[in-house]
Amino acid sequence: MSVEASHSIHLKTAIYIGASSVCMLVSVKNSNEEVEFLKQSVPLAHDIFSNGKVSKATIERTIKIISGYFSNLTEYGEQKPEDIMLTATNILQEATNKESFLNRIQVAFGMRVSIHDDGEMTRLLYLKTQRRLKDTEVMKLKTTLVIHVGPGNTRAILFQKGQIIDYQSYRLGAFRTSEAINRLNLTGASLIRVIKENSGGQISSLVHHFKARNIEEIVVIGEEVQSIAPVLSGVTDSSISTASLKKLCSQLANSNVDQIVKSYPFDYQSAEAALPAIEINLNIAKGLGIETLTTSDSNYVKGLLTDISKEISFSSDFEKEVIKSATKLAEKFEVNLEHSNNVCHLCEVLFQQLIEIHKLNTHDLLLLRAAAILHESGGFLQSKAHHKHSLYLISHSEIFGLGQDDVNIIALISRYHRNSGPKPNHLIYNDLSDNNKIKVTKIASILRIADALEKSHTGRIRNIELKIVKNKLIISLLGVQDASVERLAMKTKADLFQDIFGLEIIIEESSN
Amino acid sequence: MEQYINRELSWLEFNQRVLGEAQNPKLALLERLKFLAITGSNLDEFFQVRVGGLSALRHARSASKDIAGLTVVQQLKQIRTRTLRMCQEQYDLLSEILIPELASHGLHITQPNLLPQHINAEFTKKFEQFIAPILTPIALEDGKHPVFLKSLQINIIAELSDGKNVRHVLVSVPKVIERFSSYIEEDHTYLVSSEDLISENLALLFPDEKVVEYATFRATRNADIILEDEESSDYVNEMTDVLMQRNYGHLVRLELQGTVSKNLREWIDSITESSDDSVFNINHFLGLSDFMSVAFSSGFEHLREESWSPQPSVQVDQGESMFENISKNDILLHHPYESFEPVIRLIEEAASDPNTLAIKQVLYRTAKRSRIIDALIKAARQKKQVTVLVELKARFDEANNLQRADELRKAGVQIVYGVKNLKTHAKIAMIIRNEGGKLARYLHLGTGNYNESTAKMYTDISYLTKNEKYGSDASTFFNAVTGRSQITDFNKLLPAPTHMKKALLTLIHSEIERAKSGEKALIMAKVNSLQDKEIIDALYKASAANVEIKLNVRGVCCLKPGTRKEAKNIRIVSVIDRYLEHARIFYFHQGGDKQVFISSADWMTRNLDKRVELMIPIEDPKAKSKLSKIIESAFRDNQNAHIIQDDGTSLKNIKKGASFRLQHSEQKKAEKAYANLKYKQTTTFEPHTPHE
Repeated sequence: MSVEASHSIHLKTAIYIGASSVCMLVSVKNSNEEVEFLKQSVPLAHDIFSNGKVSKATIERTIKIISGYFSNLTEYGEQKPEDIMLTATNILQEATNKESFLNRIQVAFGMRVSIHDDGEMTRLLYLKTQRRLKDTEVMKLKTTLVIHVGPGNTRAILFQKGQIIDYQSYRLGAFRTSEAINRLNLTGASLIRVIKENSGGQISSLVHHFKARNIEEIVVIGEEVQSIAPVLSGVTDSSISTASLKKLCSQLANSNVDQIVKSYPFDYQSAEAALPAIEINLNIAKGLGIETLTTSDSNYVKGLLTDISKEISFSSDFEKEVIKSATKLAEKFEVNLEHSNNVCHLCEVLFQQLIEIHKLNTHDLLLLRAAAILHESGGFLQSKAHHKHSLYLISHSEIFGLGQDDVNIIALISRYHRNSGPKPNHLIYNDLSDNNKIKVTKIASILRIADALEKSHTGRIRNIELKIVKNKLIISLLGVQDASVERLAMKTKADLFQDIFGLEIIIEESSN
Repeated sequence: MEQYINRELSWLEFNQRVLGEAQNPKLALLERLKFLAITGSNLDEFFQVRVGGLSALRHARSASKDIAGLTVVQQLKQIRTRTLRMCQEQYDLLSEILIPELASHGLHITQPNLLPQHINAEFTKKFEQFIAPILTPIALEDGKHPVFLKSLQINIIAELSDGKNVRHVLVSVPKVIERFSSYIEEDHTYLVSSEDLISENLALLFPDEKVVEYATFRATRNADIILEDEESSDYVNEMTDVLMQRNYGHLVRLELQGTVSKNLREWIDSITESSDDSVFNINHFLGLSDFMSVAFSSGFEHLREESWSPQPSVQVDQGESMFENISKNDILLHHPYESFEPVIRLIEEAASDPNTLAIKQVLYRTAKRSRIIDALIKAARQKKQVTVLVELKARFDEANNLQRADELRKAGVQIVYGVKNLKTHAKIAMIIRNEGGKLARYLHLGTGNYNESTAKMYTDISYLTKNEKYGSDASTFFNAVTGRSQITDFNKLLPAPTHMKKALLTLIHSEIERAKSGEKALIMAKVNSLQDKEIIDALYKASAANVEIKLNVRGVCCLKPGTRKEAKNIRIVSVIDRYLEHARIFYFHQGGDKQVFISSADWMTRNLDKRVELMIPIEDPKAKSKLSKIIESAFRDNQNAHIIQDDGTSLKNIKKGASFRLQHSEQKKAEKAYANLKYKQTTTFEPHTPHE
């Protein structure tokens, strides 16, 4: 057998600046097979939740660690910059010096760190939960609440028969709690009592929200709880009783940080968050009357990096959940769903038939669909200038599985469904990157055409055919005798499309 | 009754077993002399390190007790009693048997004044030409101030008189001088020690004075290194200081040759600051370790044992690269019966291979002219990423390690000087290679050092694999020891101090549970030393639960065998033979799903809790079987195996039946396998077939 080499090795790398550590996962690009995983602790969450900013020492330690990681990468030959992802936890958003931290990294490595916002975290949690659903039959049958106690926020996703029914996020986290009570220097029962009091309000809201759903199973995800799982439940069994969690909390509360590091699988950075994380999980379970929790004994951070390093692709199931969430939001704003679904349908048809022209991707289609559903949300406040109210309402809402950038894009697309197109002085639009500005304009121009075609609010335009002749886009409305209403509407709405694609829109009736 | 055997006394029994080989009349004379020299060298290190450490504790008035319940003072006292007895046996053997018998074969180890005058004159010429010019006698001022003498160096103190005044001088015998000078006449070779040659010719050094009297002595000093925990960048400088200081620690042993007058004894005591309990009166040559050079000197082949050569392994196709060989199958080598050459070849081939991207390796004790280091330097010069962890705390080899570390650094190798607070003892090398756009990691995992010289004298295991799970673990390991990452998850490898002990205790416990449920339960282990209390206690529990335990422990064994319930199922043997038993192999029956491991670590607390080590599961059935047989064979050995007794002493296994000698059997097995392969190659033609 000849063992010859000729090509460069295709690897992909995810570097993650987390709440208490900086990690790097190197894997083979095509197979996702792990090549190596590195982890070093940094007190990022400690800094942010105690002083509101990342300390200079932490910034420089982060730089040193990443620099070491890059040295490791050179051992595998030259790597393409696009194969390296540099990401950070969303708690960094709360640091007053976030920008200077990110700039320092960019200066050092020539790469911009992308911060995981809430939407991205939700997507990652969804991926984790989906894997669990595949493995755990019971989750497909039972009403299951998935809880993730993160460093700054807690997320709860409710599954019924394997489908997401509800999703909530709370400003309640392991490090947020730890830093809030740290200065009190408490131990034992007093410490546990203060943690309970500090987190009680948010836990009550969560319990109140989900209590009526008759939760049968709780799955807990998170760095601290997954680290402790093997110690508590043995290697193979991943169920944890609340009694053992209670005992553990008591032991942790009566140990100093050195004892915790010595006796449990925590380093000095994660040790301080261990008790609050476990206590929060315990109290949620108690509040919902569940005595046994299910978790995983796999490495949480490594799993997170594996998911981060996967191409951002939204499975059709996940897209359904996003659209479901957008529809729920539209319902909340009393949108005429019949109309918005009709617009959404036309948007999809236009998008597919114009794909050679707009060159947008499937994720953009998802944003277009969500915007089509939500574009009239502003009417909830006032019909006058409702497009501007749509911008405000949507951008301040949460859509399951989408990050703030995506939500802002949806809000802008909705804002531009009527009247003026984008202008440089428009708020939010102004902050977008050039690529995203073009994206918003392209998608909004499609929404405007679809909205013009659904001017009658009756759904009478369902089937259309598009044809490009020279610089004209001819839209044939199949089975429509008289399109004067749509033609009139198009006069005020086709401008954006024409501006960006250089095509004049012609509407034709077609009796076929 | 104490449950354990004192570590130092157990070690002395090991040295006694080595002395037993020197006393073995079945062995050739020079082989016996070699074993005697080994016992001398062993004792030198024992006094410098172990007795040195205990003496330091005594100075600090430590009240601590050892595993066997002995105080520091009690241990020192018992060590002295035992060592005195051993010394007596050593010198009885040398003077009454070895020297006379060697002389009868024409090899005379003698003193100048016992030689015919013409031969003595030849030695005097040698003294004048080669020795006198490099001697530096020191005039001793008043005898009240200690003179710092180098540890293990032989010294001569003399009283001189010019008729009016008396003065004293000290002549240290430099290490650069050959210990034995030789003169050959016909079939006779005469050897004279350097100190005898100097003493005999002292008058030539002080022509205007008369040598009134002289005495020869050797001081042994404490050499236990305790490194301060500093940044690794400071280690090099600090170690250099420690190396300087090593020779000048406090005195732990004073060996006096022959009868020394009261006058000279007072001078010696004052310059060495010795006390009575550190003095050993020797009636013959000091520094037995130097007889190693005599045992290995050229000629006198009839006084040596038949030589055994390391055999090429039949698992390695000489016509193919090591990468190709390892890609076909994992390779398990038993050194020195099977040659270490494939391991060196792997590193050398990697150094010149264009597809090698990186080489990472831990170096502990390397050979003086190490081909592996040469290869690493070559690789770095060819712009490969080479990372080497050089362990500076490798006792007695630091000077060599430092020098080579500097060479490596200059060539562009990234050097890491060990892990803070822990000695890195793991034997691991990893080569990262680009194979057609795919990543491949080739590993060498072993039980012995990357030292071509000792690989010919120590029994060790090498495991060569490109198994990706092991490769991923190796990356994790190197990232941890080079400070790039915390210790994270391992798939297969079990590193110390984080995972290994826990895994061992779990495996022992599992055998206990199996025995309790009526399953067959068996633990076998081959280690150099067994001292860790937790492991010993777990083994006692296992024995009490009727787990069969077979231990092959070469050296220190603090587990006390016997008929007690907790020891009745434990058998311990120790094999002392031509090669130093060094491989660590562990076997757990696991209900028939045997788990077999090799390791760099002994079952000692220092290895399991204070060192970076590796325990490597071997999963290939053939390799597992090969390793199991190695452990089991020790219990069949009725030539060179010793059975450890409940008082820590040992008795040679003289079990009746067919004669079986483990090391001889392994050598013959390797020779036969290679001979069969050669035969097959010369009698079979394998045609090339076209690819389909």
